[in-house]
Formats: sequence, C-alpha cells, structure tokens
Amino acid sequence: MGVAADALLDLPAWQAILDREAGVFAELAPGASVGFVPRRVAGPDGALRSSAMPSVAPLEMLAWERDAGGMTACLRSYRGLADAGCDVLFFCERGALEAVLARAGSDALGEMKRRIRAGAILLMVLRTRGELRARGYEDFLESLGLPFMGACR
Amino acid sequence: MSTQTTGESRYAALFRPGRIGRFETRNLIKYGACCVSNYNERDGTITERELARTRVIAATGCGMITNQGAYPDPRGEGKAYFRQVAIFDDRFLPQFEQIARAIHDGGAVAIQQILHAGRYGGIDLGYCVQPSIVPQTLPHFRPPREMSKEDIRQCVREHAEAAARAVRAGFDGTEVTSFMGYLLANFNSKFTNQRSDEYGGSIRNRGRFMRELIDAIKQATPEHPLVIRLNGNELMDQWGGNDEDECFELMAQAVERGVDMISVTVGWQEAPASSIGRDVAPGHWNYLAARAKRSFPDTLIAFGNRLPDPGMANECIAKREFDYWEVCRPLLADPEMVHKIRAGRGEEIRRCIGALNCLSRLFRDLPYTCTMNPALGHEVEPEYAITPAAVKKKVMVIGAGPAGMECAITAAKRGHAVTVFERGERIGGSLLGYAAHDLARPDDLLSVVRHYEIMAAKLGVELRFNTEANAKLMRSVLHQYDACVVAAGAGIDLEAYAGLPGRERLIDALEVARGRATPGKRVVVIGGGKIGLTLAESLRQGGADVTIIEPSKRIAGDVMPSFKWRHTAWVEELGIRTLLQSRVLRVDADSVTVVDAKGVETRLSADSVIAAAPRKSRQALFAEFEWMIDELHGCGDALIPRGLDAAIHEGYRLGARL
Repeated sequence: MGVAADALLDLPAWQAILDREAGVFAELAPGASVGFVPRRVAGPDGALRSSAMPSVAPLEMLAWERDAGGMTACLRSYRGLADAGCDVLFFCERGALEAVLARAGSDALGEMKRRIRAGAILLMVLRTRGELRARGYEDFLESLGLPFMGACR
Repeated sequence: MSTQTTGESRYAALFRPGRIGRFETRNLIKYGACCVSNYNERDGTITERELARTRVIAATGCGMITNQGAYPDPRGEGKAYFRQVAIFDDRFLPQFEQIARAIHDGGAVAIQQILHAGRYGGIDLGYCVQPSIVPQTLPHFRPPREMSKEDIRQCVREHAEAAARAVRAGFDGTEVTSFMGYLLANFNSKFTNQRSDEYGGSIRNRGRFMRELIDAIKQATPEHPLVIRLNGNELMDQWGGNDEDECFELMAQAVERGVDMISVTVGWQEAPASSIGRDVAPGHWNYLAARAKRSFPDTLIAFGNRLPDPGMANECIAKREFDYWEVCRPLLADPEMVHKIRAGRGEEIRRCIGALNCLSRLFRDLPYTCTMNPALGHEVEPEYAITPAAVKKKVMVIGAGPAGMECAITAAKRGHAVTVFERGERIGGSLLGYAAHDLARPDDLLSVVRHYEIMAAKLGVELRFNTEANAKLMRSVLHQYDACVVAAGAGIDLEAYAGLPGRERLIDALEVARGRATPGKRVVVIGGGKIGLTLAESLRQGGADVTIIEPSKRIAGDVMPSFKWRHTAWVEELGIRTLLQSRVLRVDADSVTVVDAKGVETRLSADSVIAAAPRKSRQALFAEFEWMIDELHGCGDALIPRGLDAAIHEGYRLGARL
C-alpha cells in the first residue's frame, strides 16, 4: 500500500466533506475532476519513488468529480501524469489526507489549505489556465490559497 | 586634500573600484536585471520606451549594469513575458548597440543577461520546455514538454550565439540566469529534472547543462566575463527541490568551469515561501552570499536579494561577505539613489517598500511600474518629466496623505509655491494607520512618510496642520491661491449601515487604526479588505479574539496580487475566523448576528464591532470649493478609494502638470 493511500479510500468521509463544502465547488463545470494520489509509492524493490512521473505502476487515485448533481468522491486508476484523467492533481505526503479527514466535520478545506502551505500537499495543474478558468477552477484554487494568476514572493 | 565626497567616505567599501575580467568598475554596485520591463514589441524588438528607460538606468551611477534578460531562441520557448526583449537574431542588434553605448556613456561596465525562462517560458506558445515533464504548480504557466538531447544542444548553441551577439553589440560581458526558476534552475533542480540520461539523476549530471552552457559561452566570448545567477536557496526543497548544500555544490561546478561572477539568488516564482517580499526582513538572506564567498573566495560574488539598504550592503562588502551589491528594485524606486548616497544626501532616497507592484503587473501581462516611482516606464513621455512651470502658481493642497504630499512636492520641484492643509497633526494620512498595524514591515511604510517630511522641508512646502479644510477656510484665503488640489482621502461609509439595528455601536476602522478608539477582546471586523485585514491581524496578534465578516467569496480582494497570499496566510496562522459571503443583521451590546449566503444566522459574541468597509471618497469639498478658486483638482482616494499606488501616481501626475 502506498504512502497515505488508506485515507484515499474512505469515500464516505470524502463525500461528506464534498457535501458540506458544496459552495466551494459551485462554479466547477460538469466534467471537472480533481485527483489525489500519494506523493511517493513503493517500487518493486521497496524503495519509495515519486508518483509525479509520466508513467507509473497503477495505483488508486481519489477523484472529486463534478456532475450535474454536484460533487462525487470516487476512486480511479492512476497510471502517471501522461494519462491522469483529471484537471488538477494533488500529491499528498503521509498523514496529510488523514489530517484533512480528521477535520471532516469542521474545517476540512481549511486544513487542506494549511497542508498545502506546509508542503505536505502539492498541486500540479494538468490543464492550461484558460481551460481551468473555463471549467470554473478559479474560486476553488484561490480558496486553497493557490494563486491562479501567478505569484512572486 | 581628499576629493572623496561625504558619501564615498561613509560608504567606502561600496565606492571602492572593482574589476571583472579585464574590465574595471568604478564602484562595487551592480545594477541587477531583476525585472523584465514588458515595454517592447511582441516580436522582441526593443522600443523607444525601453531605450528611454535604459538611458535612465545607464545614468544611475552603478559600476556595472546588467541589461534586462533577453530570450535567445527564435521559437519563443525561452520567452517569459509578452513584451520581453529578444536576442536570437542580428536584426535586434541596433537597439542593443544603443543600450551598450548608453551604459558605457554612463561610465559602467555593460552586461547583457540571457534569459531562457524554461518552465515559465513559452508565453506565446501552448507549451513550455523543461528537462522533464513536471506539471506546473501555478495555472499561469504553460504545460511542459520534455527537451530532447538535440533540443538541449540547440539551446546551448543559441545561448552561445546570443552571448556573441551581445558582445558584438558592444556589451562587455554576459549573464545567464536561473533566477527565479528559469531553464537553468530547472536542469539544476531535482524537482524539475527527473531525467534518466546524462543530464539528470546525480547532481553532477543535473549540472551538466549548466557546465555546457558556461563552456559554450566562454568559447564564443573568450575575452569577456560571464556572470551566472544561481540559487543559494530555491525554497523548493519541501516539494522535492534542491537543498542549500546542493545549491552550493552546483555553484562549485560553475566555479570549476571558470565563471567570472556568481550572483547568488533566492527562491523560485512558485516557491511557497517569501524571498523578496515586504514580509522578509532586510538582510535575511545575506548568509547565503557570505557562504558563497567563503566557499569560493577567488570568484566574484554579487548579492542583493532583499537587501535594499546601502549601509548594510557597504558593511557586508567591508566584511568580505560578497563583492558586489546587486541592486535593482531600490533603483526602480529611486534611480538617483547611488548619486544621493555618494553626495551624502541619503536621507532623500525614496526607498523600495517591497510592495512588488512590479511583479504583480508582470503576472497580468502588463508593463512593470513602481509604486514609489510614478515616472518609471514613462521616461519617453515628456508629460512625466518634472520641468519648470511656465506660470508659477500658489497651490493649496488639502490633505497630507501620500496623494497630497506627492502632488505637493512634485509641484514644488517645478517652482510652484505650495501650502498643504491637513486636519491631523502630521504627514501621512491613512498610511500612518496602516503602518501602525502592519505585520510585515511598518518601517517600509513609514519610510514613505519620512520621505515626504524631508522633501517638504527641503522644498519649502508650507504645512498647516490641525486645519480642517472647509468653505470657511476657503473664504478666509479667497484669491490667495491659484489652484486647489483636493486630496482628502476616503473614509469608512457608515451611512451604508443606515438600516442596521445597533449601528450606533459600530466603530470606524480608521479611528481604531489611528489609535483614537480601542476595541475590546472579542472583536468582529466587517470587511475583509486590506483595512479590515490589517486591523484584524494586528488586534489578533495583540491577543483579541477576532472574526472577519466578508460579503464576497474571498478576503483580500483589494490587496496587491503579490501580497494577497500573505494576508490569507496570516489569517490562517493567527487563527482569525472568517465568515465569507456573510453580512451583519444586527449589532447588540455583546454580540453580532450574521447571516450567510444560505440564510443561516449565527450569533457571534463581541464587545467591539469594527466597520472596515465600504469606503467612500471625501468628495464634499469639490462642491464646496467650486466657484471659489481658479483651478480645482482632485487626486488619490478622494476621487475613488484605492490605495497607495494610485495615490502616489495620481499625485505625481497632477503635480507634474499644474
């Protein structure tokens, strides 16, 4: 089992978060998809390798998908960046998603934002800025403290 | 008898002559190519606007001047900004020749930077190029393509050709840059370099592209120095980038290949931490330069990240922590800075306050400007020059905030006799309130106030404090002035709460900011813009329990883009509760009732409720003064509530044409 993978599988808990925070996702267009995978996974030799590679051995990806009825949490197969099948992808260190889940009843996205700032969750965008804007990601990403228009600090 | 000026003796290390390669520099100040201007044609051709700006840079008095980064490839893969300069073809030579000549005429050694933006490039294309496919962490940038070995060879050739072209144009040397996360950095960093061939993997392999680049440029321009800008710290290590030791190992590889100078830099554009913003203390990163100097004593080290103070730079050079003070943003804010410190007029310097307006605009694909220097980028326009007034006027300015004072000192420089009427007891206006509560660097903001105090005294601007401007005042000075400038700023619009039960309990945020009202320990702030945030952060830090009520979806809507994240991070770190898409329903003696977008009501316990929004311009004087004076003008927040940038720029523009 990969690092942080257990938390990925708890779909009822993720669905509860999506339902509770529905307002944050209100602007997302149907078909929008947000993925979560462990940052590192064990290779055949047991050594940990980055999962942010064009191609990796299949692993489970938590997906937040937008359909006409709202956001749905589900599991997809992740085979690498080249064919991730989502618009944005969060790579999660051990413990990060567990910490988000632990705040499921109160401030899950706030915790996610804190974990992003602490470097425990890393966003990678798999669409262009125009495509993301058209799919309604601006509010969602900004709400996580991720500058949509660039930053230099 | 000594011919040293006061400043040369005070800043003896800084004004010592230096040498790079076979070129002597008159002092140890290097103008850094910190920003691409975005003033040029879309095809990379240098414009008259750029040339006019460059003439100002050439006259800064620096010993070495680096011209802004030019992209070296005809495809535009290296192009980071829409209107960036190109150097991939001889057709660009005539303008580069003019720039090199201007720099030499100004007495400096001329260096041309070659900037291939790599991961941040391809601005006109649908992609960028990188050593490996590592997707962007910021949506602003283009999706990546991996460079083949042939791409790498071609890229190296193009850098060498660009260097040779720069030298042909008359530049004395060249510079390649990894700052801040450009192609060179992408190869060096294990975050973006995941190649499995000889260009990736070990640090030696990751440094191969850099070594080949150095070798090729050295071979193409053997008689001319090469500067390389390398990270002392990427601030990307938590995302899998290089740590500091690896950064210094890469510097060692550059030294091994014979670079003439290493310019030590900090951070990538996408780094999660601050490197050059106002929240970083001046001198914070100096240790990186000192480490570089200790590690490579025989190689010149230049440094200037978040080092705006010439006194500190002088001290560092005297202690041999680095060899050249690399300075850019302070010279954007005040192109006369070097001359002022040399002449012992350091107190007249307009400091860079680290607002990062320059970079904020670049990320919106706009030309860069400077909060503190309204003429920057307008050097080609005579309307922005301060010229003697054809008709000397008596000018009254209402309000001693940044807009009024900027207008006053600009008008005074042109020969007008200026009197400022201020209802408070000192210069500064609402800026004083911000500075009193700023968690970043209050001294940066107060430096603006000090500058106006000093310049007003030097230029003989008359200041009448504790004077309320109204029709009565105007009648008492009737026919004594030719022009009146209303720069009375903006206040909180308490009338907007007219129907709110308990509105009499609201406290005006500006009264709190100025210290005239003291909130209790349970505070609700209405408005999550810059006024509300600044107060909320300060009160929270002082121990109060603070909640912000904001009607829109996000806080910090009116904050400079490069500083938004800082406020949102402070709100998180300090534990300030924010209720978004919410509005106040009623204010009671010990509570506030709030309703959110879904209609859910919440009762918050509070002993103080501060109204920090909306803002309203103080425009009443326009109506009162009409028909009482020949010329009536307005500027700054008195027209539309905005911020420091608009206040200073409008004040200047008005002062320059009165």
